[in-house]
Amino acid sequence: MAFPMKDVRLPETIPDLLLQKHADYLVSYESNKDDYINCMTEHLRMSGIYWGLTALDLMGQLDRSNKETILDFVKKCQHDCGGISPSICHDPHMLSTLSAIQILCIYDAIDVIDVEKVVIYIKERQLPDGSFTGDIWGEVDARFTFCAIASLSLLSRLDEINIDKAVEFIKSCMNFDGGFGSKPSSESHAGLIYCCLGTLSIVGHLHLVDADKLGWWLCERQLPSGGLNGRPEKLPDVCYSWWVLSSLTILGRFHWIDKNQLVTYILACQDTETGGFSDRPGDMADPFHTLFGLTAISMLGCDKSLKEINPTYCMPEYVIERLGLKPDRLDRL
Amino acid sequence: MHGRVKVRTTEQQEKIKQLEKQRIAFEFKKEITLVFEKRKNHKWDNELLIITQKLLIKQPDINTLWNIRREAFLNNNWSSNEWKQKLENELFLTEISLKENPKSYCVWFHRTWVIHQLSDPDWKKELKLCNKCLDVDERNFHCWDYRQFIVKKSNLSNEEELQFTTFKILNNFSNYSSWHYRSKLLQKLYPNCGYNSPISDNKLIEELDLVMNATFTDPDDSSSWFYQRWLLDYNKSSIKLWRAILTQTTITVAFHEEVLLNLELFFNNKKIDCKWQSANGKKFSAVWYAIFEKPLSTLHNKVCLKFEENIYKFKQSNLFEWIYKCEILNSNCNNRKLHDQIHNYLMLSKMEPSNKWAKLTSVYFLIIISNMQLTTIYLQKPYLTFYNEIDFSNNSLGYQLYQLYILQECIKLDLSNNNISSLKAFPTLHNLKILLLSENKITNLEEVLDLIRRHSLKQLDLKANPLLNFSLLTKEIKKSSLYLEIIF
Ligand SMILES: [Zn+2]
Repeated sequence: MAFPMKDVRLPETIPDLLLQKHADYLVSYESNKDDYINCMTEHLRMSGIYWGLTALDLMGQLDRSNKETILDFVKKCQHDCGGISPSICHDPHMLSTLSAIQILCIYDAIDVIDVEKVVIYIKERQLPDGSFTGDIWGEVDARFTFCAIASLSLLSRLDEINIDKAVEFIKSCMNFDGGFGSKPSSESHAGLIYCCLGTLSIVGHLHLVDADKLGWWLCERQLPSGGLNGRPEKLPDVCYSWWVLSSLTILGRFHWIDKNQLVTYILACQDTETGGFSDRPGDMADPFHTLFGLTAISMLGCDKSLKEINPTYCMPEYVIERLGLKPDRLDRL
Repeated sequence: MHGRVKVRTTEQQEKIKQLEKQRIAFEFKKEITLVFEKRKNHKWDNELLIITQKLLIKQPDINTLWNIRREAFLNNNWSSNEWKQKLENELFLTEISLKENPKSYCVWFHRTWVIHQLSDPDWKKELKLCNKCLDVDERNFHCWDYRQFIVKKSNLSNEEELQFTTFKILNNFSNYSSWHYRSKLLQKLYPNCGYNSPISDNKLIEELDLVMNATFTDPDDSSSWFYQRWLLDYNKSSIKLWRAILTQTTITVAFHEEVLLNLELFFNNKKIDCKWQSANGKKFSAVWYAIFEKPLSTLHNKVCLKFEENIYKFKQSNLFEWIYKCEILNSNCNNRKLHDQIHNYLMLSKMEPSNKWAKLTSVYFLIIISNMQLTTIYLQKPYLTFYNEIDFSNNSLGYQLYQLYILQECIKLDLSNNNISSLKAFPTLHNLKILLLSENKITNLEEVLDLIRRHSLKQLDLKANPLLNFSLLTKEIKKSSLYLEIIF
């Protein structure tokens, strides 16, 4: 007996790429003073700004963002300990610290924050086993290792931490399928694989990965609808287009998936009325999936008007070049 | 943000919904402002606990609110009874919050924090919670992680956990999370001292049978196929050094994988200075070599290499050459059992002709049983490092040129008809004398010249390439290398 495969059915007609609508959607989302949404997403505000800005920049519409207000906000979110919080009154955390640094790099305005202090904050998050905690409360997760390594490299301060130990921790998160989980013995997950490969790509240790085995697992994420899921036997989701695609690109195995089918799936996830992308066709659009829909489209190279995206940092390539960073990638197989 | 279906509503319904949302937002803002103010004034009182509880039930993902609750524990002088009671309440609160969002990172973390504070937690209750949660969603990795935390902290037996995964898998083979957990437990319970499989031989056969049961029940489900590949694929050799050749002028060393330079060469226990070079020019390389400034004279000595604390002894192969070869015995635990498996999978691929997994596995078993006696060009491994003449003509290595770096002993290399359009990635092969590149798509003169400059070639065949300017090329070559014969 065969169980039906977990997947979705795409609509009959697939819309074109509606760039202007997406830009308008992001701008109006930013300026919207809908109290309810603001309240319920306040704790994600810093990352939310990063999602919106990166997407706007890719579409060449960064100038529609409110630069002064955003820089002022980021500055206000840095605490005495150096860490940056997702919003004012909230507590500093590695996730929002990385988002803030990414925002400042895009604006080329890193001096808005006290860099020395933020370096100390990140440094203090490393534990003796090499792992990083998210904040002072001690939650350990490979995502925070990526936040630390990405942040410090964007600040050119990687030498402040013990990289060998950090790499050892990442290695201990590797699983039977060649993938990575959030901590040792956690199940492989495309999002975490991106974080671990991103980390290894920044510090130049990609040779630790079994690229064929992991590449195989990653390309098996593609379902008949063309969409990608994040783990076996799960539904496709636009954000995994990014986590899987960037991981395969870092591994030099981008061409192991069916590009045209994936493009079709991503395009089907656009909201043709409001603009923006959702996780699956017919769901509510949000800025998170809008960014990852666009980054995937950029990576797939099917719309020349979109700027190039860097697979390791998930930031526009020109920003990474401006900073003189060269994260490692395996050669195409 | 995930799985929220867009629903169409009438204008009237929309208006009511908006009003309700506005009311909630107003309340929410008022309350959270009060919480932040209390915290600022160091007032971690009961009211603070009540309000944060109310807010977290509505929105469990606000990390800072959980932080504030934990601060309340650390900043109040509660009696031990009160402390315990309040911690019990946290367990209760996290349980309700998990019903709202079973995938909330901060709720699961808060619960582990509470368990750390309790002097004797009710482990059975925690395990029951995990079971309940996994009944609802058996792929919830937060819950699996929490379960492992509980098992470790309470010293629960790994055997029982293994039984739990068996139970889960037999209940539903499509349970990748269980297979994953199983891979971890088996490595702890049945470690293998050999090289060929991740777990002990007897257990391996048992596992292969379980997988067979799963793959035959639901051949379209990928979970068990991935697990099976792990059981078969594992080939972790503890001997990293594969082969090495020492002559009077050079030493070339090949490893099973890319390694950092950590090599020492000894003659009669005396260390010889070598300028080691990475064959691919990178920090990690599968092949390393060194060229001696003065030819070695005393080759009659005991020769060995030290790598990562292991000593590898060389044997003399002729008067001027010493070699090291790694001998790994390929003991396949139980050949008859493997033959049963392959028989069944060949049958399955006949029954399910469109199933790619069955086909793939059949081929895979064939390779294992034939003990890798199939000829494979395997460029990622250094197994071709010590050949002097290699014929790769009529392949499609255009994109893989960089991988040729392992061919450090190669003198004659044939790459004709290989769809090569650029020589940029062509590595430097320090022994190369004859290079055949006919019938490719090489156009860039500068790349050809660069390649010539990096080598001391005697012959270069560039026939049938759309090369731009032969006369210019000949002129340039004459300037740099007199002894090179070029064939157009
Ligand atoms: Zn998603």
